[in-house]
Amino acid sequence: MEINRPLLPTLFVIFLLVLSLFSSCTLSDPVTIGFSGTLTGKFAEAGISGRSGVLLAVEQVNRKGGIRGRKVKLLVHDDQNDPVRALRSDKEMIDRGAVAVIGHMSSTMSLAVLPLFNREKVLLISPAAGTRSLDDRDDYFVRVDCSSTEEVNVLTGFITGHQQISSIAFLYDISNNCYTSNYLKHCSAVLAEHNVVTKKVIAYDSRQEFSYYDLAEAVLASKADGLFILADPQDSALFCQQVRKIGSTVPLYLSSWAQGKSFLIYGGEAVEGVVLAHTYIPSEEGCHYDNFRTDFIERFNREPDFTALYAYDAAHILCEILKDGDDPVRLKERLIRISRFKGADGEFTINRFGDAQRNVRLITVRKGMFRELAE
Amino acid sequence: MKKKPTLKQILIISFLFGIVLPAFSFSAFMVVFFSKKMEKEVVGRNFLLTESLAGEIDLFMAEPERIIAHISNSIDSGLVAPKSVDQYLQHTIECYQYFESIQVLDRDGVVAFAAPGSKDIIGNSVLTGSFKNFIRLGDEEKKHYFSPAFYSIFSHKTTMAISYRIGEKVFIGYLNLQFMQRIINRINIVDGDAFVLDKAGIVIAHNNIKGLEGRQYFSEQRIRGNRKSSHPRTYNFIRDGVPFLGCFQYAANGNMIVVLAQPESVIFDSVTVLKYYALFGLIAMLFLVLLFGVGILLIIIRPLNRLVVKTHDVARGDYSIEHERTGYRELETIWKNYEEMIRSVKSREDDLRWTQNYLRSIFNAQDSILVALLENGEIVQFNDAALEYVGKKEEHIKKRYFWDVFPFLKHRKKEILQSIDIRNASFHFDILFTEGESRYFSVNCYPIHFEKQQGALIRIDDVTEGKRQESQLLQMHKMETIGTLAGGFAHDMNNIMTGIMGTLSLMDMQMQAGHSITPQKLKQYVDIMSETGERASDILQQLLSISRGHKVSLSSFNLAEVIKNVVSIFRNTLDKSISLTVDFAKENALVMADKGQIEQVLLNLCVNGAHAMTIMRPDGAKWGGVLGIRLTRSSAQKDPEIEGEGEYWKLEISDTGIGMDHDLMQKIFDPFFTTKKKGEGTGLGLSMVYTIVTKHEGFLKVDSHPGEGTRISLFLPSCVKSESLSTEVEDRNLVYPRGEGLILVIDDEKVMVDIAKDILIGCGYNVITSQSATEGLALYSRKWRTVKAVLLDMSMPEISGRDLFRKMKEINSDVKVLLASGFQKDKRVLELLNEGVKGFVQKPITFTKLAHAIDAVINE
Repeated sequence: MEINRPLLPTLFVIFLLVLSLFSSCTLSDPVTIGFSGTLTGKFAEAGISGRSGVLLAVEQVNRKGGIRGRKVKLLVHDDQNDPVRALRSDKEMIDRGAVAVIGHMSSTMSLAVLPLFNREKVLLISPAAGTRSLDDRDDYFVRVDCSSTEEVNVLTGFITGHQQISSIAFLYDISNNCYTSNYLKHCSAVLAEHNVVTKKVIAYDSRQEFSYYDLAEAVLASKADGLFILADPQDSALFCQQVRKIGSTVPLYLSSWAQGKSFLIYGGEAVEGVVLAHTYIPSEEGCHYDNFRTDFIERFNREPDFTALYAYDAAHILCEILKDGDDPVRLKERLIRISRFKGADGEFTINRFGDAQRNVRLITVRKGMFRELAE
Repeated sequence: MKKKPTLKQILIISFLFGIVLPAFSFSAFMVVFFSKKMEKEVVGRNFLLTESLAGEIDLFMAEPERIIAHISNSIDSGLVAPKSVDQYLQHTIECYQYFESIQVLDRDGVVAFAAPGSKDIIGNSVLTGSFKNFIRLGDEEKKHYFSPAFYSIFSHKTTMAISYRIGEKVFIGYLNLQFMQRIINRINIVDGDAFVLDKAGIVIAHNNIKGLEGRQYFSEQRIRGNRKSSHPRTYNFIRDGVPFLGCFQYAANGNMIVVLAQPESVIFDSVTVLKYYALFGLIAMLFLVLLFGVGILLIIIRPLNRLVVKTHDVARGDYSIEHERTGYRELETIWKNYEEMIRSVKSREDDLRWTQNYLRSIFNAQDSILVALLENGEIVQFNDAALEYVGKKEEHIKKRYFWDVFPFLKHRKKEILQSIDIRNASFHFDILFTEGESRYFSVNCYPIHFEKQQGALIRIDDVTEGKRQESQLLQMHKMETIGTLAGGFAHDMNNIMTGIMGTLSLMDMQMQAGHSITPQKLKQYVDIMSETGERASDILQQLLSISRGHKVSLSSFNLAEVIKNVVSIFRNTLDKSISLTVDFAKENALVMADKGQIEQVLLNLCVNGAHAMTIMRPDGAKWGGVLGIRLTRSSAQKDPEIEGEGEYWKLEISDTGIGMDHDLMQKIFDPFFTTKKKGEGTGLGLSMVYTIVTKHEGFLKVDSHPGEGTRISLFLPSCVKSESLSTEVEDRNLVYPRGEGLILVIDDEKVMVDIAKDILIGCGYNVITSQSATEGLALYSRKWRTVKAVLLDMSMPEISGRDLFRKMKEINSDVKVLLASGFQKDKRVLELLNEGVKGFVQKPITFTKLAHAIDAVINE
């Protein structure tokens, strides 16, 4: 029998049409970005918040159609607060095509991996690394939080201007030495300029066994008029607990590193009245911030902290500059060229060295909440 | 016209839409249905596992609740001494390792007791600020509250706090979630996740340690929002591009959610395998169905195609039959019937062919030319005689118009076509065709009406020979009639000769007696001789008219003149016992006919009538009777014997002879039938009469009774106007034209030469004569330039007048010849006239006749 000739071409055409239909479903390649921060261990709080902020931003961008039609793919790595691991995971992300990495959440990790990014010419955007060691460096490091230099200036200004103290003691964690030691040096120097003598400096390593009580007792033994604690939120809270438990009423000063949720959880009554300087006050209400806060709570069922907010800003900045192409080398140029960005809690600028310029204010804890210090 | 689909297309479409599509649809539906059912079962199974896991988590969380409550009651009731509380708590966390720490807070929220005990902890104030909200202290006494997961400052791992208040003491147990992790780890789940979310949606236990990293958050709303599965507590989500299906169940204690998620490819692996098998089965089934369908199509179509091919062969005339094995009964039957039909058709076609050939043979056997025409005159069929006559090939005849093939029918074209158009009855006519040799054709036209087709069959017979024989017979009969009339002629001629001879002898006698003849007497004698001469000339002319064999020449003339002529000839030949009565109308009885033939008819009838009253009477019977000739105008209205329309002249010839009975009357027009004695009749007379009358579209009626006599009525159609009715009357007043010039007279008869010479001289011409053709030709050759005209005798012994004319013409192509002959203007004369002879004068010549004729020739 003859095969019905017109049938075969028809079937073939239908097959091709179906094939092309399926082929056309293939999406454009996504734009890959990375996030690296400490997600486990003692310092995980900032990393988790930062990851959540980035995740929220990426989800929002993708919901709006991605970057010029390309979806954003987020690679998340846990540096476990280990420089070696941080380097390895960052290298892996770059190798997997990450055009930029948002992270790390601590200055020490950021400084540890920066040579890699400079060598690879890939942008590293940190939401929280505030060490002044990274100030004014023309490299591939960008941060959306302001440098600790400004914090120190504001806080020491307050100490010397309002507190009427003549001496001070320091307690700092060397596990984030790049941040704390620079902070300490700078602060101590500034205070010294204002005749505030540094009576005692005690360093501890949070990665090792130690007694909060003993350290607090040791630092208070100096009889300094004030105590400056440079530690993470938990340690800062527990040191405050020990100070008050011992019966000391010395004013307590903190770095912005302490501005975490667990500081309030573990601090109890002991953290009431502490003073720190930072750009972020979660209790403040504002249009943009409210939107971000609502979205964040809806997505993660908890209040955002500043690392979440700045990671969110970092992700949006990155997506903004990726709109003109994903060539990693050109990203910083575009970022510097734009320079002024609309953050979730207000506008801020990034200078030609990639350092954010934000309004630093004095913050205290009142009734279990971070609030701006009414001078 | 729209092309109709073939059976093959119909079968393929029917097969595809009637079998393949339903089968495929049903199979696909069944695959989908069972797949869905299986998926539902698999999902249900996963959900059962999740429920089981949630049950275990519930049990796990119930234990710390119970222990905390127990500790709280023990301490609060004083069962444990305050100094032993730290030791008691330490013992408890050692026994119940799902506690990593237990703290007892006083009414200020300060840690009063703790295990493990530490100065870092004891004395800390924790009941303020956000921590208070965090673990919901103070809401209700003796009720357990679970905090969300948070990082333990002791283990630096995720923990949850369970709080229990009695009075002003608050008991807080920090749970070691590693135990929950162990429960989860017991779940052997392939490539999937089993995890527990706290009431805030944070992952607090995960079967994969990486799943615990970073306190991942899954809100219940997100899980519910992603729900696509039909099961109420299952949801779909995509992770790293891989579709997952998760099941969740609430663990009542701690408001936790237990989630079990696996890649769909793993969960539905068995379903996928089943789908593949089903798909394979479906494809195999489709293949088999297609194979089967193609087989069926082959079985159906191939024999049908052969049948179609065979029908084409048969349509082209190939009736060879090869029995086909078709494979199924119906087609076998069709084949058998078809073969039977082919045989039958072949048989009928053979019969038809035989009949056609037979008819063709008959058709061709005809000597007549037979030609079948369409209504437009196109030739569609013809026989061999036609082919032979035309002398051309078939293609030169077929589909051509008959008037092109048979030119002699051209002037009858309109008549033939009209007869086809009006379906007229057949008709006949004779045609003389004089192209080259003159031929007579008898043409019969028979209109044909076959179904809706109209046409005609034309039969053409070359009747030239028949005409000739008929003419000979007629001549024969004429001679016979002349023989019969010879006595009468002799009597007349004797009387005439008596007049001449008597007058001459009288003159001779008077001259011999020496008597002079006075001019008056001489004039009287000349008149007598002239009159008797003219009388003799008339008689001879009439005799010549009857006896000549001439062509049919129709002209209108007065029948009465014919009667007079015949009577004048016939009267003296009648037996004296017969009295003749003639009665005709005074008006001109004009008919369109051949005068000679009508005279012949009348003479025949008169002779027969006379014979019936004389020689045909029985021996001894008295001869005699009355022979009546009567001519009257008649028509259908006046005469019942006339069947058709129109006016007729009725010529009745009656006798009182022996008459005929009825049987005899039936035969009298048969050729060679005669009742006369041998030697008295040829039997052709009445037959000829019948033929002549019918040719003139007339008819005959016979009325006869034995012993009473016979009356034969002859009806001829009346002619309205005389066309050639010109009575040649000799001008006796001797008014003649005169001329001048030299006339050469050539005639072997001296009398003729002398008379002609005298007449021509009398007319003013100069005349030279010759009695020899040879001499005359020589004379002409010498004097042709001065000879104005030549009077030439037609019949001469040496050279005929025709040949002499031709020789003269060679000398002078413009020679003016006046031909003279004792014969009538016959064929030979006509030929010469056609060749260039200027005129003809019939002997005997008279002064006036010759004068006019020579004048006409000279002044042509």
